[in-house]
Amino acid sequence: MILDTAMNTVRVLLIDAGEAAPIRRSVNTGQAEQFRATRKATLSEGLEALQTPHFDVVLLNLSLPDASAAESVAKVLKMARGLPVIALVNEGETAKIAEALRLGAQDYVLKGCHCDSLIRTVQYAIERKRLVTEREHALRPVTKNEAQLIAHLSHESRNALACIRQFGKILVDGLAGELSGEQREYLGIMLENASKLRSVLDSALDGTPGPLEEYTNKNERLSKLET
Amino acid sequence: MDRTTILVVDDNPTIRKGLSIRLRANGYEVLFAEDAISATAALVTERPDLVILDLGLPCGDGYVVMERLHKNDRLASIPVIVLTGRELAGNRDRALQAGAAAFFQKPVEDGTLLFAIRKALDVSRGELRFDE
Repeated sequence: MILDTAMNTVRVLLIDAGEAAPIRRSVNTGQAEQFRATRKATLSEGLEALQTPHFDVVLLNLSLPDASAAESVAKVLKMARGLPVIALVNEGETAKIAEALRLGAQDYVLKGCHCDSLIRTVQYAIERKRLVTEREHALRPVTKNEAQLIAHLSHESRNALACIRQFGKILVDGLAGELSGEQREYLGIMLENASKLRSVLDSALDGTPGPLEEYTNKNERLSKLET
Repeated sequence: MDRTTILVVDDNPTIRKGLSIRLRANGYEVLFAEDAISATAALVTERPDLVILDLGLPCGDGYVVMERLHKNDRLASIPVIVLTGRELAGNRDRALQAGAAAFFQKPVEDGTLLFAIRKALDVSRGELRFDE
Protein backbone atom coordinates (compact mmCIF):
# COMPACT_ATOMS: atom_id res chain seq x y z
CA MET A 1 0.00 0.00 0.00
CA ILE A 2 1.39 3.37 -1.02
CA LEU A 3 -0.69 5.53 1.27
CA ASP A 4 -0.41 5.97 4.96
CA THR A 5 -2.94 8.51 6.13
CA ALA A 6 -3.76 9.13 9.78
CA MET A 7 -6.69 6.71 9.83
CA ASN A 8 -5.36 4.47 7.04
CA THR A 9 -8.34 5.71 5.07
CA VAL A 10 -8.23 7.73 1.86
CA ARG A 11 -10.95 10.37 2.00
CA VAL A 12 -12.32 10.93 -1.49
CA LEU A 13 -14.48 13.89 -2.48
CA LEU A 14 -16.54 12.75 -5.46
CA ILE A 15 -18.03 15.68 -7.35
CA ASP A 16 -20.49 14.30 -9.88
CA ALA A 17 -24.15 14.69 -10.71
CA GLY A 18 -25.05 11.09 -10.12
CA GLU A 19 -24.39 9.34 -13.35
CA ALA A 20 -21.04 8.29 -11.95
CA ALA A 21 -22.68 6.24 -9.22
CA PRO A 22 -20.71 3.10 -10.15
CA ILE A 23 -17.56 5.06 -9.44
CA ARG A 24 -18.82 5.90 -5.99
CA ARG A 25 -19.71 2.29 -5.35
CA SER A 26 -16.26 1.24 -6.51
CA VAL A 27 -14.61 3.65 -4.17
CA ASN A 28 -16.80 2.82 -1.23
CA THR A 29 -17.01 -0.91 -1.63
CA GLY A 30 -13.81 -1.81 -3.44
CA GLN A 31 -11.58 -1.59 -0.45
CA ALA A 32 -13.93 -0.31 2.19
CA GLU A 33 -11.31 -0.29 4.90
CA GLN A 34 -9.09 2.07 2.88
CA PHE A 35 -11.41 4.42 1.02
CA ARG A 36 -14.33 6.61 2.05
CA ALA A 37 -16.16 8.73 -0.51
CA THR A 38 -18.36 11.77 -0.04
CA ARG A 39 -20.45 12.78 -3.06
CA LYS A 40 -21.46 16.30 -4.01
CA ALA A 41 -23.74 16.70 -7.02
CA THR A 42 -22.71 20.16 -8.26
CA LEU A 43 -19.55 22.21 -8.58
CA SER A 44 -20.76 24.77 -6.05
CA GLU A 45 -21.49 22.05 -3.48
CA GLY A 46 -18.12 20.48 -4.18
CA LEU A 47 -16.32 23.80 -3.72
CA GLU A 48 -18.15 24.32 -0.46
CA ALA A 49 -17.08 20.88 0.75
CA LEU A 50 -13.48 21.71 -0.12
CA GLN A 51 -13.50 24.53 2.38
CA THR A 52 -13.01 21.85 5.05
CA PRO A 53 -9.74 19.94 5.25
CA HIS A 54 -11.49 16.58 5.23
CA PHE A 55 -10.28 15.12 1.94
CA ASP A 56 -7.17 13.52 0.47
CA VAL A 57 -8.18 13.50 -3.18
CA VAL A 58 -10.89 14.88 -5.47
CA LEU A 59 -12.63 12.88 -8.19
CA LEU A 60 -14.20 15.48 -10.48
CA ASN A 61 -16.80 14.72 -13.11
CA LEU A 62 -16.11 17.01 -16.07
CA SER A 63 -19.80 17.02 -17.12
CA LEU A 64 -21.34 18.88 -14.20
CA PRO A 65 -24.66 20.71 -14.60
CA ASP A 66 -23.42 24.06 -13.29
CA ALA A 67 -20.03 24.50 -14.97
CA SER A 68 -17.93 23.70 -18.02
CA ALA A 69 -15.11 21.15 -17.79
CA ALA A 70 -12.37 23.79 -17.80
CA GLU A 71 -14.16 25.96 -15.23
CA SER A 72 -14.71 22.95 -12.95
CA VAL A 73 -11.06 21.93 -13.04
CA ALA A 74 -9.73 25.45 -12.53
CA LYS A 75 -12.04 26.24 -9.62
CA VAL A 76 -11.56 22.90 -7.89
CA LEU A 77 -7.78 23.11 -8.21
CA LYS A 78 -7.83 26.58 -6.74
CA MET A 79 -10.03 25.55 -3.82
CA ALA A 80 -8.37 22.13 -3.30
CA ARG A 81 -5.12 23.83 -2.20
CA GLY A 82 -2.66 21.08 -3.04
CA LEU A 83 -4.98 18.08 -3.13
CA PRO A 84 -4.65 15.88 -6.18
CA VAL A 85 -7.59 16.21 -8.57
CA ILE A 86 -8.58 13.34 -10.86
CA ALA A 87 -10.92 14.00 -13.77
CA LEU A 88 -13.84 11.64 -14.43
CA VAL A 89 -14.60 11.45 -18.15
CA ASN A 90 -16.50 9.44 -20.70
CA GLU A 91 -14.61 7.40 -23.22
CA GLY A 92 -13.67 9.51 -26.25
CA GLU A 93 -13.61 12.86 -24.43
CA THR A 94 -9.99 13.42 -25.37
CA ALA A 95 -10.26 17.20 -25.62
CA LYS A 96 -11.64 17.42 -22.08
CA ILE A 97 -8.91 15.11 -20.80
CA ALA A 98 -6.17 17.19 -22.43
CA GLU A 99 -7.65 20.42 -21.07
CA ALA A 100 -7.98 19.01 -17.54
CA LEU A 101 -4.39 17.75 -17.48
CA ARG A 102 -3.14 21.02 -18.95
CA LEU A 103 -4.89 22.95 -16.20
CA GLY A 104 -3.26 20.81 -13.50
CA ALA A 105 -5.38 17.71 -12.88
CA GLN A 106 -3.20 14.84 -11.74
CA ASP A 107 -4.84 12.15 -13.86
CA TYR A 108 -8.14 10.97 -15.31
CA VAL A 109 -10.31 7.86 -15.11
CA LEU A 110 -13.08 6.68 -17.39
CA LYS A 111 -16.53 6.41 -15.92
CA GLY A 112 -17.32 2.75 -15.49
CA CYS A 113 -13.70 1.74 -15.25
CA HIS A 114 -12.72 -1.32 -13.27
CA CYS A 115 -12.61 -0.85 -9.51
CA ASP A 116 -8.93 -1.86 -9.22
CA SER A 117 -7.96 0.57 -11.94
CA LEU A 118 -9.76 3.43 -10.18
CA ILE A 119 -8.15 2.66 -6.85
CA ARG A 120 -4.70 2.46 -8.43
CA THR A 121 -5.24 5.79 -10.19
CA VAL A 122 -6.25 7.41 -6.90
CA GLN A 123 -3.25 5.99 -5.08
CA TYR A 124 -0.80 7.04 -7.78
CA ALA A 125 -2.31 10.53 -8.03
CA ILE A 126 -1.87 11.08 -4.30
CA GLU A 127 1.66 9.72 -4.39
CA ARG A 128 2.63 11.84 -7.42
CA LYS A 129 1.16 14.94 -5.81
CA ARG A 130 3.10 14.24 -2.63
CA LEU A 131 6.35 13.91 -4.58
CA VAL A 132 5.69 17.11 -6.55
CA THR A 133 4.92 18.99 -3.33
CA GLU A 134 8.12 17.69 -1.73
CA ARG A 135 10.11 18.74 -4.78
CA GLU A 136 8.55 22.21 -4.78
CA HIS A 137 9.26 22.50 -1.06
CA ALA A 138 12.92 21.59 -1.62
CA LEU A 139 13.28 24.13 -4.43
CA ARG A 140 11.55 27.07 -2.77
CA PRO A 141 13.63 30.08 -1.72
CA VAL A 142 14.92 29.88 1.83
CA THR A 143 12.91 31.76 4.44
CA LYS A 144 14.37 34.43 6.71
CA ASN A 145 14.52 31.97 9.64
CA GLU A 146 16.29 29.38 7.53
CA ALA A 147 18.78 32.00 6.30
CA GLN A 148 19.51 32.95 9.91
CA LEU A 149 19.96 29.29 10.83
CA ILE A 150 22.36 28.77 7.92
CA ALA A 151 24.32 31.89 8.90
CA HIS A 152 24.52 30.68 12.51
CA LEU A 153 25.58 27.16 11.50
CA SER A 154 28.16 28.54 9.11
CA HIS A 155 29.66 30.89 11.70
CA GLU A 156 29.81 28.38 14.56
CA SER A 157 30.99 25.36 12.58
CA ARG A 158 33.63 27.29 10.60
CA ASN A 159 35.06 28.88 13.74
CA ALA A 160 35.31 25.50 15.47
CA LEU A 161 36.90 23.93 12.41
CA ALA A 162 39.30 26.84 12.03
CA CYS A 163 40.49 26.32 15.62
CA ILE A 164 41.09 22.61 15.05
CA ARG A 165 43.05 23.28 11.88
CA GLN A 166 45.00 26.26 13.22
CA PHE A 167 46.30 24.45 16.26
CA GLY A 168 46.80 21.19 14.42
CA LYS A 169 49.03 22.98 11.90
CA ILE A 170 50.84 24.82 14.69
CA LEU A 171 51.74 21.44 16.20
CA VAL A 172 52.64 19.85 12.85
CA ASP A 173 54.88 22.79 11.97
CA GLY A 174 56.74 22.43 15.27
CA LEU A 175 55.75 25.87 16.55
CA ALA A 176 54.97 24.34 19.97
CA GLY A 177 57.93 21.96 20.08
CA GLU A 178 59.16 18.90 18.23
CA LEU A 179 56.80 15.98 17.60
CA SER A 180 57.55 12.29 17.39
CA GLY A 181 56.88 10.52 14.10
CA GLU A 182 53.83 8.83 15.56
CA GLN A 183 52.42 12.11 16.91
CA ARG A 184 52.96 13.71 13.52
CA GLU A 185 51.17 10.82 11.81
CA TYR A 186 48.13 11.07 14.07
CA LEU A 187 47.93 14.83 13.65
CA GLY A 188 48.08 14.31 9.90
CA ILE A 189 45.02 12.05 10.17
CA MET A 190 43.18 14.70 12.20
CA LEU A 191 43.97 17.44 9.71
CA GLU A 192 43.04 15.29 6.73
CA ASN A 193 39.62 14.68 8.28
CA ALA A 194 39.25 18.35 9.13
CA SER A 195 39.76 19.06 5.42
CA LYS A 196 37.05 16.56 4.52
CA LEU A 197 34.72 18.22 7.02
CA ARG A 198 35.46 21.58 5.43
CA SER A 199 34.48 20.21 2.01
CA VAL A 200 31.21 18.96 3.48
CA LEU A 201 30.51 22.38 5.02
CA ASP A 202 31.35 24.22 1.78
CA SER A 203 29.02 21.93 -0.11
CA ALA A 204 26.16 22.03 2.40
CA LEU A 205 26.22 25.71 3.37
CA ASP A 206 27.56 27.49 0.32
CA GLY A 207 26.68 25.17 -2.54
CA THR A 208 30.32 24.70 -3.49
CA PRO A 209 30.74 21.40 -5.37
CA GLY A 210 31.84 18.84 -2.83
CA PRO A 211 31.01 15.49 -1.26
CA LEU A 212 27.29 16.28 -0.80
CA GLU A 213 26.88 17.11 -4.47
CA GLU A 214 28.74 13.97 -5.47
CA TYR A 215 26.46 12.00 -3.15
CA THR A 216 23.33 13.59 -4.68
CA ASN A 217 24.54 13.08 -8.25
CA LYS A 218 25.41 9.49 -7.48
CA ASN A 219 21.95 8.84 -6.04
CA GLU A 220 20.28 10.53 -9.01
CA ARG A 221 22.27 8.31 -11.35
CA LEU A 222 21.29 5.24 -9.33
CA SER A 223 17.61 6.29 -9.43
CA LYS A 224 17.77 6.64 -13.20
CA LEU A 225 19.35 3.21 -13.52
CA GLU A 226 16.63 1.71 -11.33
CA THR A 227 13.88 3.23 -13.46
CA MET B 1 63.21 48.76 10.52
CA ASP B 2 60.00 48.44 12.59
CA ARG B 3 58.23 45.14 12.48
CA THR B 4 55.01 44.97 10.50
CA THR B 5 52.01 45.13 12.82
CA ILE B 6 48.81 43.21 12.16
CA LEU B 7 45.58 43.84 14.03
CA VAL B 8 43.56 40.65 14.44
CA VAL B 9 39.88 41.41 15.02
CA ASP B 10 37.88 38.37 16.08
CA ASP B 11 35.51 37.70 18.97
CA ASN B 12 36.74 34.12 19.32
CA PRO B 13 39.78 34.03 21.67
CA THR B 14 40.96 30.66 20.35
CA ILE B 15 41.00 31.96 16.78
CA ARG B 16 42.92 35.04 17.95
CA LYS B 17 45.48 32.91 19.76
CA GLY B 18 45.96 30.52 16.83
CA LEU B 19 46.42 33.37 14.37
CA SER B 20 48.84 35.16 16.67
CA ILE B 21 51.08 32.09 16.96
CA ARG B 22 51.15 31.70 13.18
CA LEU B 23 51.69 35.38 12.45
CA ARG B 24 54.41 35.84 15.11
CA ALA B 25 56.19 32.76 13.75
CA ASN B 26 56.31 34.60 10.43
CA GLY B 27 57.80 37.74 11.90
CA TYR B 28 54.73 39.90 12.41
CA GLU B 29 53.80 41.91 15.47
CA VAL B 30 50.24 41.07 16.48
CA LEU B 31 47.58 43.20 18.16
CA PHE B 32 44.07 42.10 19.08
CA ALA B 33 40.55 43.42 19.22
CA GLU B 34 37.46 41.41 20.09
CA ASP B 35 34.63 43.66 18.97
CA ALA B 36 33.88 46.51 16.57
CA ILE B 37 34.43 49.26 19.17
CA SER B 38 37.81 48.04 20.43
CA ALA B 39 38.83 47.39 16.80
CA THR B 40 38.08 51.02 15.87
CA ALA B 41 39.97 52.23 18.95
CA ALA B 42 43.00 50.05 18.13
CA LEU B 43 43.02 51.31 14.54
CA VAL B 44 43.18 54.92 15.73
CA THR B 45 45.70 54.46 18.55
CA GLU B 46 47.99 51.84 17.02
CA ARG B 47 47.57 52.39 13.29
CA PRO B 48 48.52 48.82 12.32
CA ASP B 49 49.95 47.97 8.89
CA LEU B 50 47.18 45.49 8.13
CA VAL B 51 43.92 44.22 9.63
CA ILE B 52 42.61 40.65 9.67
CA LEU B 53 38.92 41.20 10.25
CA ASP B 54 36.09 38.87 11.20
CA LEU B 55 32.63 39.97 10.05
CA GLY B 56 30.51 38.66 12.92
CA LEU B 57 31.51 40.85 15.89
CA PRO B 58 29.84 42.20 19.01
CA CYS B 59 28.99 45.93 19.12
CA GLY B 60 28.70 46.25 15.35
CA ASP B 61 30.22 44.01 12.73
CA GLY B 62 33.16 43.87 10.36
CA TYR B 63 31.37 46.07 7.84
CA VAL B 64 31.03 48.82 10.45
CA VAL B 65 34.77 48.59 11.18
CA MET B 66 35.61 48.86 7.46
CA GLU B 67 33.26 51.81 7.06
CA ARG B 68 34.89 53.70 9.95
CA LEU B 69 38.35 52.85 8.67
CA HIS B 70 37.66 54.13 5.17
CA LYS B 71 36.07 57.36 6.45
CA ASN B 72 39.29 58.27 8.25
CA ASP B 73 41.93 59.63 5.86
CA ARG B 74 44.76 58.61 8.16
CA LEU B 75 43.54 54.99 8.26
CA ALA B 76 41.91 54.53 4.87
CA SER B 77 45.00 53.03 3.23
CA ILE B 78 45.35 50.20 5.79
CA PRO B 79 44.61 46.96 3.94
CA VAL B 80 41.89 44.74 5.39
CA ILE B 81 41.73 40.99 4.92
CA VAL B 82 38.36 39.57 5.83
CA LEU B 83 38.49 36.16 7.52
CA THR B 84 35.02 35.05 8.47
CA GLY B 85 32.82 32.14 9.37
CA ARG B 86 29.88 33.77 7.61
CA GLU B 87 28.34 32.21 4.53
CA LEU B 88 29.79 33.03 1.12
CA ALA B 89 26.60 34.27 -0.53
CA GLY B 90 26.17 37.98 -0.07
CA ASN B 91 29.26 38.43 2.09
CA ARG B 92 32.17 37.99 -0.32
CA ASP B 93 30.93 40.58 -2.82
CA ARG B 94 29.80 42.94 -0.08
CA ALA B 95 33.16 42.74 1.73
CA LEU B 96 35.17 43.33 -1.43
CA GLN B 97 32.91 46.24 -2.40
CA ALA B 98 33.39 47.65 1.10
CA GLY B 99 37.12 47.81 0.38
CA ALA B 100 38.53 44.50 1.64
CA ALA B 101 41.77 43.51 -0.08
CA ALA B 102 40.86 39.81 0.21
CA PHE B 103 38.03 37.65 1.51
CA PHE B 104 38.50 34.21 3.07
CA GLN B 105 36.13 31.85 4.76
CA LYS B 106 37.35 30.02 7.84
CA PRO B 107 39.23 27.82 7.93
CA VAL B 108 41.85 29.20 5.56
CA GLU B 109 45.15 27.57 4.64
CA ASP B 110 48.00 29.29 6.46
CA GLY B 111 50.02 29.60 3.26
CA THR B 112 47.09 31.25 1.46
CA LEU B 113 46.56 33.76 4.26
CA LEU B 114 50.27 34.58 4.57
CA PHE B 115 50.54 35.10 0.80
CA ALA B 116 47.52 37.43 0.84
CA ILE B 117 49.04 39.38 3.74
CA ARG B 118 52.35 39.86 1.90
CA LYS B 119 50.58 40.90 -1.28
CA ALA B 120 48.22 43.34 0.47
CA LEU B 121 51.17 44.91 2.31
CA ASP B 122 53.14 45.24 -0.94
CA VAL B 123 50.17 46.93 -2.58
CA SER B 124 49.62 49.34 0.32
CA ARG B 125 53.31 50.27 0.28
CA GLY B 126 53.13 50.95 -3.42
CA GLU B 127 55.44 48.10 -4.31
CA LEU B 128 52.78 46.16 -6.20
CA ARG B 129 49.47 46.77 -7.87
CA PHE B 130 46.47 44.57 -7.07
CA ASP B 131 46.37 43.11 -10.55
CA GLU B 132 49.99 41.93 -10.41
